[in-house]
Amino acid sequence: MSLWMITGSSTDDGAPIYLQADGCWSRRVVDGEVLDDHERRDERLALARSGERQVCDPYPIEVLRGAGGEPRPRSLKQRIRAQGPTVPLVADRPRPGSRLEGPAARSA
Amino acid sequence: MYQYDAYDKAIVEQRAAQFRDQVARRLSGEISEDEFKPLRLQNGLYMQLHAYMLRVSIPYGLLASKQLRKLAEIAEKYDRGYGHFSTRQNIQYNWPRLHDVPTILDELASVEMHAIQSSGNCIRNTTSDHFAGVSRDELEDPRVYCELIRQWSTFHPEFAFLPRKFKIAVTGAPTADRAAVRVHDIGVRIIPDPEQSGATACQILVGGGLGRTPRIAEVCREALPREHLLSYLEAILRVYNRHGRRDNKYKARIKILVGALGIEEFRRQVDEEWEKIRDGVMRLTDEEFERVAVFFSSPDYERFTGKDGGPRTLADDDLRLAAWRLGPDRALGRWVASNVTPHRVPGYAIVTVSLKPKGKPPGDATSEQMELIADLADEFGFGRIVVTHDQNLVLPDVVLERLPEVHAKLSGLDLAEANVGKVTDIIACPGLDYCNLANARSIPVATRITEHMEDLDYLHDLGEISLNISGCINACGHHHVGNIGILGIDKQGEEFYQLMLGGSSSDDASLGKILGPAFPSSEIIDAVDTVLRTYIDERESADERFLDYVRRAGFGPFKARLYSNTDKAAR
Ligand code: SF4
Repeated sequence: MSLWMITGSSTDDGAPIYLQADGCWSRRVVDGEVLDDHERRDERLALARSGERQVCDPYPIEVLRGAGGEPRPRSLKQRIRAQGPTVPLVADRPRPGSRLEGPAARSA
Repeated sequence: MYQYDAYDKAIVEQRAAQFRDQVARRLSGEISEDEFKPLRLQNGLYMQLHAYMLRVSIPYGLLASKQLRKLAEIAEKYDRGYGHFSTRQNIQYNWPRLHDVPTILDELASVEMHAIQSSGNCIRNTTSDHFAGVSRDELEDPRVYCELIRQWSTFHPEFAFLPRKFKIAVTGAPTADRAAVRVHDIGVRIIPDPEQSGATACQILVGGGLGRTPRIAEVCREALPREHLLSYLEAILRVYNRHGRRDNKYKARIKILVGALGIEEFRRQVDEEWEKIRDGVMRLTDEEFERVAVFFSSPDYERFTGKDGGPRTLADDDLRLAAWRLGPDRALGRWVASNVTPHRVPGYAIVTVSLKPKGKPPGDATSEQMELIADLADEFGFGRIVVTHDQNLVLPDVVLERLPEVHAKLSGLDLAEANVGKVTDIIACPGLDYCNLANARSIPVATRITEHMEDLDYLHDLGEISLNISGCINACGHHHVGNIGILGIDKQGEEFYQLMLGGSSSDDASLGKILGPAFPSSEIIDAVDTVLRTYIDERESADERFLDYVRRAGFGPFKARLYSNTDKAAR
C-alpha cells in the first residue's frame, strides 16, 4: 500500500516543509501527516495549495515507515532533500535569522 | 576593467528596487508562486532542493578584488559562509532567504554587479578565456568583444524571450581554446584576418552545445570583420528566435535548428537577415571599439631587470619557473608545474588557484578563502581575479619572484592543491545534493576520486586529463567534453554512473562516447582507477597524453579490463 505526505518549499527560505495533521507546516519529515488513501491525499494537497503564501509548489511524495513507525521519504532525492547535502559543506554557518540550524538538525 | 556608466548603474539599481517590491508582494501573499517564479528567475533566483539558489553574473569571469570581497561578505552575512563558482564563470549562493535577496542585489549593485540574465530564456553571461589579456598565445584580448556583447545583449528587447537560453563564448587565442567555444550556441574565435596581414577577424561558430543532444559547433562565418560582429550576432539570434522550436523544450536550442536546417541553409538565412541590418546602427566604429577597449588596457606592469643587468626577458622567466619545478621544495615545484602559467610580460606569472582540494566539493570557496584571494590579488598583482569555466580562480598578474610567498599563503587556507589540469581538477555540477533536476549525486563522486588519488607523483605522472561529472543529462558538468566523462543516471531508484571517454572542449573538440554498461555508485571509483591504470600501462611514453592514447588505442584496452568479468558484462 502506498503512503504519501504533502511537501513543498517554504516561501521564506526555500527549505523543505511537510504538512502536519493540524494543517501547519513542519521542517521535519517525521512530523508530517502520513496519508494512506488517494482522496485524503488530494484533499490535503488542495488545502496546501490554498496556503500559497507560506509554501511554494506543494506536491505529494511517497513515504515509507521505519522500524519505529516513523515516516521517511521513499526516493533518494526526497531523502537528501529532507536531510541536507550528503557531503559536508565547506563552511557551515547557520543562516542569519533562519530557524534552520544546518542539515543535521533536520533529521528525517 | 570595465566600469559602469550612468546607464549601467541606473539599470542595475532600478532592477534591484523593482525586485524588492516583487519580493515584498510575494511574502505578503499578494502574488502567488506561479506569478512570482518568472520574476525571480529573471533575477537569477532558483528554487533548489533545500533552499533558494541565487546565481550572480560575473561577466566573462572577471572580478576586481573589491567585488570578490563583496561576494565573500554576502556569503558570510546572507548565506552559510561559502559560494559555489560555476562552469558559467558565475557564483551561486545555495542558501539565501527570500527577504534578504533584494538587499543582496543592492550590495551587488554597490560594486557594479547583478544577477540579471543569469537564468531564463535569454542571452546569458558571455564567457571567455580565463587567461584573457595575459597569456602568451593570445592574438587579441577577447574581453573587449565580450563587453561589447554584454552591452548589446543586456535587456535586448527582441531577445528577452528566446525559445531557450542562449550562451556565447569568445576566445582570443586561436590555437589554445580555453573557453570551450565549440560547445556554445555561438562561439567567437578571434583569428588572423586572412585578407589583411596583421589584422584580426572573428570566426563565428554556431550550434554547439551539450545537454541531451550534444553537438560540436559549425563554422557559420569564416572571417567576419569586427565592425560587423554585433549585427551578425543579431542576425543569428533573429533567425533562431523566428524558427527555434518553442513547441518542444528539448528541441528548442539553436543546435537543433542548425542540425535540422543544415549549416548551409542556416547560413543563408542568417546572411539574408544580416544584409538588412549590417550597415545600420549596430556597425561597430573604431571609436566605439576603443571606448570599450580602454577599460582593458594593460595595468602598469613594472619593468624588471634580468640576470645580465639588462631588461628581464620571457626566457629568464622560463628558466626561473623550470628551476622551481625541479627544485628541492617538491610542494612548491609541483604547484609551479601545474598551477603556474607563463605570463606574456617578463617578470610576471599567472597563478591558477585550485578550488579542488582533496575531499571538498569542486568550485566551492569559503568567504575566508575569497577574502584571502582578494588580498593576494591586491598585494601581488593588480587587484584582479578571474573565475575559470572549470571552477577555479586565477590571479592573472603575480610578480614572478614572489610565487613562493603566494604559494605559502594559499597553502594556509587549503588553496594550493597542485592539480590544475590533472585528473583531480574535476568539473562537477551540484547534482542530487542540491539540484532539483538531478538523477544522481556528482559531488560525492568527485570527492571520492580526489581522496582516492593520494599519490601525488602518480597524479602528476598521469599528466593532463580532464574529468567532468554531471548529475543528469542536462550536462551542466560538461561530461561529454571531459577526457573522462561521468554521467549520473537513476536505475530503479539507485544511482548508477555511465563512463565516457574521449571528450575534449578545446581546439580538438570532440564528444566522449559511452564505454559500456553503467557502474553502480560503489564501483565507479574503481572503474575510473582502472581506466587510469590502463592508460599508464599501455601508453607509448609519458609524452602521450591520455586523450591521445584514447584516440589512438580506442576503447578495447579499457573494456577488456573493465568488463572482463561476466557478471559485469551482464549488468
Ligand atoms: S547537470 Fe543536471 S543535476 Fe547537474 S546541475 Fe545540471 S540540471 Fe542539475
